[in-house]
Amino acid sequence: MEILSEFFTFQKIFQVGAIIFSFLFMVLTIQMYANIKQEVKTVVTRRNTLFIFISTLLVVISILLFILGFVIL
Amino acid sequence: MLQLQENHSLLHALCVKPGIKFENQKADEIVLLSLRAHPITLIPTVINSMLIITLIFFSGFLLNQFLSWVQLIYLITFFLFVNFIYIWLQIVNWYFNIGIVTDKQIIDVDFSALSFRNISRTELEHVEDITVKVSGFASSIFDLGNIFVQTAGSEINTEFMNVPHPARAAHIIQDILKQNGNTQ
Repeated sequence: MEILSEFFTFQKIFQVGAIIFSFLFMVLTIQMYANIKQEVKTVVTRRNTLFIFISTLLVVISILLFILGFVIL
Repeated sequence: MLQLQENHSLLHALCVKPGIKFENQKADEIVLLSLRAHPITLIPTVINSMLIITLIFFSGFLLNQFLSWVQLIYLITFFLFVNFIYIWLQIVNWYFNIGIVTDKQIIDVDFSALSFRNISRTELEHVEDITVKVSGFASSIFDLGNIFVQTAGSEINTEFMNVPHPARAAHIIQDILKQNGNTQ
């Protein structure tokens, strides 16, 4: 019983931790996207579209990970 | 008119006539040179990320008995994503930390994807001196160094750090200055 209760606590900590970290990471990724979006106006190069595309993709993945944190865990 | 041949070397770290534009560029202003740090400066990032990947899979193996397989896959995916973001941030910071030399001014863009952006401009006629500093083992082997552009009076001095072929880059800047009537 004690082992079970310990296991349960570990699970809870993991779930809450995953949700908090994925949320913080989502905020961080959005911040990165906003800064890059601003920077591509300052220096215009041929690869700016690629930078914006990958950054957008990363924001989408971070949001998905945050949502998955709620659904799966 | 200064004759410069278009040239892109070392993953666009040192480009002559790079074909880029920047904010507040004048209509008749031509970008002659762009400088980034040598790509070799990204090697620590590659090593760090490889260590992180090893750590992720090792900790996944250790946590195997405490977590369900769905949680384990989520955990590994999440930290691999974190690792990828780390690599991406380093690449973005490297790419957008750029020095631009035009026929009118020198622009130094300092950029961090998470925290700050600093752009300093120096008119070519205000440049007093250009110093090249190459120090250290890696700098000698890979031919990278720092270029310091000193300006007159209270204007901010410009620094281009870990630039590839610093002597060549400084020589090009000096040619541009001479063309502009600045003999330092």
